Amino acid sequence: MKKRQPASRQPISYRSLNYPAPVTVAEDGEARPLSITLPSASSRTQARRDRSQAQAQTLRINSIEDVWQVDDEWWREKPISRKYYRVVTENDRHFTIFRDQTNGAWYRQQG
Amino acid sequence: MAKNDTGKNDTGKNDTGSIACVLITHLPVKAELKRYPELRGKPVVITQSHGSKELVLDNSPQARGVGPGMPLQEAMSLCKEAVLLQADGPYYNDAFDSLTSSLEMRSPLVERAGMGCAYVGLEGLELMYGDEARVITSLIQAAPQEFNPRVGVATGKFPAYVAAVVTEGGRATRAPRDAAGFLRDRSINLLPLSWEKKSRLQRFGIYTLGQLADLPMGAVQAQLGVEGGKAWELAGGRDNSPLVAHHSEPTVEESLSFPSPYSTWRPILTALGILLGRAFSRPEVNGRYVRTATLESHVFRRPPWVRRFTFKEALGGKEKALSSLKSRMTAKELPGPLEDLKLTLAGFTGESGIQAGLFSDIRKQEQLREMMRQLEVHLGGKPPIYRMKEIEPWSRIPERRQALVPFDP
Repeated sequence: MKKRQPASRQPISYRSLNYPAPVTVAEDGEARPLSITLPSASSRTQARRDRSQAQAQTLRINSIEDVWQVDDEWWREKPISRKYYRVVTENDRHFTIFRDQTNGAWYRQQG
Repeated sequence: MAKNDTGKNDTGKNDTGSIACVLITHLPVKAELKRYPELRGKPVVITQSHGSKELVLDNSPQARGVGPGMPLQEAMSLCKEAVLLQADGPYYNDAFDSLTSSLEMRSPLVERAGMGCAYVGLEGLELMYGDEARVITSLIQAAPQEFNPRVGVATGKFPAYVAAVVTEGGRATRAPRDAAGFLRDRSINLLPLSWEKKSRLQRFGIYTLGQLADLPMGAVQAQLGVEGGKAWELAGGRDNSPLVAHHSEPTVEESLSFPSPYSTWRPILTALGILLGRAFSRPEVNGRYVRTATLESHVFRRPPWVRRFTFKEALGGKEKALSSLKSRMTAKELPGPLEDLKLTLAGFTGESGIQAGLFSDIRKQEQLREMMRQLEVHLGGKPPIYRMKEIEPWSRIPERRQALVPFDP
């Protein structure tokens, strides 16, 4: 018999822009950032990141320009709780980083 | 009752015009256990909202004392440790659709009688399969093993249904030629009557099909109307209703999953535009026009959302379909945060005679499409070309503001 199946393709999905990237941040006793370690520009994969750890650049944070807290989706299994810092580092570079308050991990984010 | 594993009768031959009833009891629970195997052996209760009431749709055998139609509070008081699941209608429909499609591979005459119940015309199949036993075995194998279907065979639909009900899962029963005798001691609850009418019969002291068949037809009809007359005939083993073959219409489906649930129309309409673009560019559509669009979505912690939209006139392009759907969708409130979106286009018509504009950017679009096709051939897959879309530009979470979506000119 002839089978008539609905014609469907692989589902597509959105790719979020400005997805947070993990960074290493040294923090003080009050969980404020002291320095930020940036992976080298080419270290896109984990293996490359491990190899290039030695080339990573650590920058001391000179000042914190702004601090804000984002709490959202508290009703979900993985709620969002982030403390954002707009920081200026020793070579006068500006970064937006945040501390994930649920697990203490640090991320860098644009946008 | 002549009963065996294969449903073969005493003579070993199939009666002309035999009908098989393929029955999957508790289809919603079985479908959920297939999806979540870790729930096997646990008391599972599936609930469905009816207005402000939450009622039990189905339950696993471990949820003792619980039954379909029972209010949720009552079910919870009887089975405190029950795992509660919200009914996922589209998922159960898909499961049943794949069963009927599988049966249609075996017989050209398949009727969908209701969720989990299908009738299959057996006439002529013996020639193809060798004997009736093989036909029945093939019907049982049409469903996934977890569904454990039961099959009843008779010369009418109702005796076949009753034969299937009294059979164990994974086995088959052939009703004897004397259908009235076979049905005699069965409960009137098997009849396709409303709950009120069954209760009325029970108030008259009528509990079995034999008791009902012994009454004069006029008396039953006088009490229960046309429905009662039909029930009287069925109780006496007379069911001449023909099999009505289910015709599956061609559809085109596209789906998209969201990175996080969206509760505003803007990102959902953006997604709908992408899905419509992809659906109308499919070779199956190929310039044809569509009459209906169905949208389905899983809603965060709520029952799935399903809406069917019928267009006043068949539409042949993304823009017109989007504009028609947009005005009708945004007039309604969202049921909650949507986790994904599935679009199904159906009701295809021939090409319409609407004249396209002479001076438009159609040529440019066609050039872009051609370029994408060339890239696809060159790269051996979908080209990694994306378009940036504003999703929730007001969001406090930066990664929610914009997204890359596949470029589909």
